[in-house]
Amino acid sequence: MEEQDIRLPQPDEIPEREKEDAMGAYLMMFATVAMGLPLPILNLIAAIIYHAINRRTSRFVRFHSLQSLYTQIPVSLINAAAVIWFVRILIHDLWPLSDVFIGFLIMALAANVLYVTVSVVAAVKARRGQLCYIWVAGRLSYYQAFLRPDPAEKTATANKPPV
Amino acid sequence: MFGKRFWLELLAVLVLLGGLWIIFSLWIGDSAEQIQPPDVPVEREKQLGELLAGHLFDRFDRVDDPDVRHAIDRIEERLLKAAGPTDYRYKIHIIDSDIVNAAALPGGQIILFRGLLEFAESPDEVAAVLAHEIGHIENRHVIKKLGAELGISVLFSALSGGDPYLTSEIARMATSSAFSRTMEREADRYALQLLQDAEVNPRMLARFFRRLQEEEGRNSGFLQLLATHPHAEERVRTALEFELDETFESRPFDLDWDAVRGSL
Repeated sequence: MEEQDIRLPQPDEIPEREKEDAMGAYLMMFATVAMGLPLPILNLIAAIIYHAINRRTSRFVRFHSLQSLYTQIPVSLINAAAVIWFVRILIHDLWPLSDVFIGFLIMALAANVLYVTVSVVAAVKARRGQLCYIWVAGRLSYYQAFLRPDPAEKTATANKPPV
Repeated sequence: MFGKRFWLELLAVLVLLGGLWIIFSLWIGDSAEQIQPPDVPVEREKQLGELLAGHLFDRFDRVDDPDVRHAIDRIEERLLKAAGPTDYRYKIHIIDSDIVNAAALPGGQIILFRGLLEFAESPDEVAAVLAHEIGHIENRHVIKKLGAELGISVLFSALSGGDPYLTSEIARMATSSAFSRTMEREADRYALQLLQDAEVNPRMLARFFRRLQEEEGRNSGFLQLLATHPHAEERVRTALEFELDETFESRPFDLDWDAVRGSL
């Protein structure tokens, strides 16, 4: 599908249920964050499950659930690295904490704050039926949600008359 | 597939996160370096050093063997001659303890533990450790570290002598808490140059820390030097990368180190 052929869904065409599902892709992160802090990978698993459940609903919901997932991947990796690094320090008794590790923790904190901020903004936009493009994740999600064949359409044409 | 803009965004995100990491790491290092001793006169530093050394002597026996003393004096003499004029009058004490450690106290007092002398394979290795401790003292790291951890007013309130618990705590911190990475780098830079000037091979610093690292797995309980002087890997590398003068030649100490160790 070429980019110029696409007609993107407009806010007044999107059902309320889809807007809520799209918003949920970002807000679901807050539900798992308490559980995910010690094990950052849990957030990522929750985002993958949410996307798997909603990927066949509509391109609009798929876009937002993908964008939420892609945004979460680097943050989860950074958080997981911080946890693994810290555990390694505990096990190998590498006190005091090095400047490089403390610098990494502050960077991880900044990345998490940025992640929460853009997620809230994206959730609000999704609830209004709007698309918003977070850096990198936005373009990836746009490509996958709008430029690739719709899995829901594939299912719809799975049953065909006899040849 | 995603267009030039996608790759630019990806690059920007990577640069942003990597840049934040580097900036914060350097900032932490710099803030440690920026801890300044607030106009502490050297005399006061010396008084504090003597108080702490006295406290340690109350708790530990000292090694006073004349052969050991003679060896340490020869090493000290050569290092201080190469160091040139200094505000401090150095005193090196040997504590009778198995622990492999050395500590710099304020005002020019250096504590060597017997375990370190037993672990050292040559007087050159002891010289390397001493040069490093002198580096901490000349850069006033001890007073900076203690001042940052306790506060200068608390530190000098110990001089009144009325609070043995406080003195004990300061002595514990001086001998067992670690210096920052920046301080270690400064002390190493100083030590490597000093060793070269004193005609001792600066690579001895690398050799000593490498041996400590190898020993760590086998007998870590006694190797406190690695805990109080962290970042050993980086320090070994720095010592190995140190550029020796083309004319450099090491001059061996005229000491029978095995006999010295036998006297311990």
